[in-house]
Amino acid sequence: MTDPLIKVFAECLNIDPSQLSDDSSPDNTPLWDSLAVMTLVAGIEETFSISLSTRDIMTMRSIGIARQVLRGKGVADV
Amino acid sequence: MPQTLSTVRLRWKAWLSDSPPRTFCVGVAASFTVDPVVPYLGCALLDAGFSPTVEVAPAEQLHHVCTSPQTAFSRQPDALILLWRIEDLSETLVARHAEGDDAALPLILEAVGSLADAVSHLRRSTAAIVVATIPPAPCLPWLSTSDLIAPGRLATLHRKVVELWTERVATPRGPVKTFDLAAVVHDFGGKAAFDRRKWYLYRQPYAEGLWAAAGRRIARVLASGIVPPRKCVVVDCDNTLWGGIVGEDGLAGLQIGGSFPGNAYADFQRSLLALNRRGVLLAIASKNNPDDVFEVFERHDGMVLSASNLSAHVVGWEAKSRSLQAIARQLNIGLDSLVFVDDSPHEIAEVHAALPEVACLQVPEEIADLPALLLESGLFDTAASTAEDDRRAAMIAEEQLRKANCETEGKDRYLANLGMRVHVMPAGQEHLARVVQLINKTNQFNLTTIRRSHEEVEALVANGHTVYAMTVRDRFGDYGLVGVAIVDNRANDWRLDTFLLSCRVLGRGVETAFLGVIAGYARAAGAERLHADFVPTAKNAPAASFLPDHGMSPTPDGGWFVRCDGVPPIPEFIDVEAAG
Repeated sequence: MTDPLIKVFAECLNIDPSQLSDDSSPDNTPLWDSLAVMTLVAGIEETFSISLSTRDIMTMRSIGIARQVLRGKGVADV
Repeated sequence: MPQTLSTVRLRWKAWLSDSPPRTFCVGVAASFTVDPVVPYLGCALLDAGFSPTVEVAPAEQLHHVCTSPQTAFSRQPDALILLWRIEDLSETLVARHAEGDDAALPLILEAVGSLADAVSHLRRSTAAIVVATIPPAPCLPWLSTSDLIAPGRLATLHRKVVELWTERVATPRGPVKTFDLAAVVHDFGGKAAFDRRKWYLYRQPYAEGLWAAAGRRIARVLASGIVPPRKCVVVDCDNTLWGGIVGEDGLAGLQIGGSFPGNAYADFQRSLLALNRRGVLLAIASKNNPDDVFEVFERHDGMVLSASNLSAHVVGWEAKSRSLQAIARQLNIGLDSLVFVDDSPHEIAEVHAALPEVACLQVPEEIADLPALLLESGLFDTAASTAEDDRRAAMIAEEQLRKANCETEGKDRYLANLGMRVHVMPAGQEHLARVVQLINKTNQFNLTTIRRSHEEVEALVANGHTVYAMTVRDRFGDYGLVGVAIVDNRANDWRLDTFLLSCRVLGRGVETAFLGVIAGYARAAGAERLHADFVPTAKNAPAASFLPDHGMSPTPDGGWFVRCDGVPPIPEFIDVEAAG
């Protein structure tokens, strides 16, 4: 089963999950632009029932960092 | 499972990657970042039967989009949605006004007027449907709206701006359609609607859920001009119009009015009555003993509806699909004009299977949601409610009286006694809303069934065509504007581009009179022949023999023609007044 965080990124960025890893970032992922960030924020907040701060949003420059942010908010299983 | 926001977004992505043919292109421009609305608007349009694309213009270029829409989008949009907020015109002026500076308001209104000018220019320069927002009350996170410092000033500003804007642009029957963003924000809750984080990060002011609501509402506005509204709602009685089962619980055991749930059923009846006042016909289809049902209408104190509000009723033990067919026949409207409301999933399924054209609504499990059921369905949204709509219910009652008369008199004497008066004139601005409505909803007596928007009709007139309108009245009442003809009279021979009549007046010779008057105009203008076409559709069989019946001969290219002096005379029993 696909990792839930990778799944959200894959859905929001319209990319196959197999092409994403914790190292994926806007620099190596062509579809990860500012428009996609808006969709990502909505997708992550809805999927994990959390609220991201502007600092969180600015910090999440890779999937690995997003994972740390979610763990920091007490989200289990990411 | 209810549709979550992310399932809507995924569905839109799936639709985009499917790349089916796109027949409806929507362009969105806003005074702020508006991209999140796209999937919700797109999916709502899909649900309404469109095959849409949605394209967003570069942010904050509202004026530019208005003056040169062709450069803002990759393809010519069929509809343009313009969203704006008062504070985006000038934050500084809004703040100055809120803080008590009375010099700011005229400047803000001037900016609103200039935007209105741009929208008017856009409206004249594009054939697209234009939808403009009613802006919400301004919201600046840093500005005090305290009761002590600036009591009511932002509310006053909002009211003045909306007054000016609706007067200039968003008039109820005008060519620019209105999307009430203020109402969406209000319904959502002002504080919850505004998302500070997204505002400061992306200049995108609103929460995701607000966009979902806004997208659905914009889609409804767009569909209202294109999908014909339903004309009649047929309701079941037991556990729909009232709580309980009259055959088992008796009159005294029914819940109508008073406390819950009777108050919800009474409000549902009020929603029906409100639709009736807008011209929607009401009917009941109930499996019951007729005496039981009508006893409720006559004797129950809580009833809001009375039997006289019903244009038709079928109470018996037939399948509901049969009852609905009987009601459609009796009211002379199509099955696709009916909405059926019932509490039983079995009845809904039976009707849905037998008559897929009928829109079915099931009474919600939560009875508190019943009073808003019809409103929220969007099925009765209408582009411009015309004077004829308002009178339609009254006219149907007059029709019953005419029919009763018809049975007692012979057909010819009946027609002669009707005292029919027909008035034909070139259509003026004041007729245009009704003319466009008839062009887009008349199915049966319609020779060519060419649908056209307000803008397209105006363009034809500008191009040298003439639009004729016909009103009809008789001694029982006034039918209003019921006939439209568009004539291409640029050449020596005249051609009927459009010729249609509302089915309410068919079979009484007025169609002959209408053609006769137009032939008279053609003769007076020196035309020799009148050309016409008949384009068969699934529904216009009633018009099929009209052309040969009126002296027309076929042409080799499949059309029809008649010498202007070969058109049958206007029937003697019709009094004709022709202007222009």
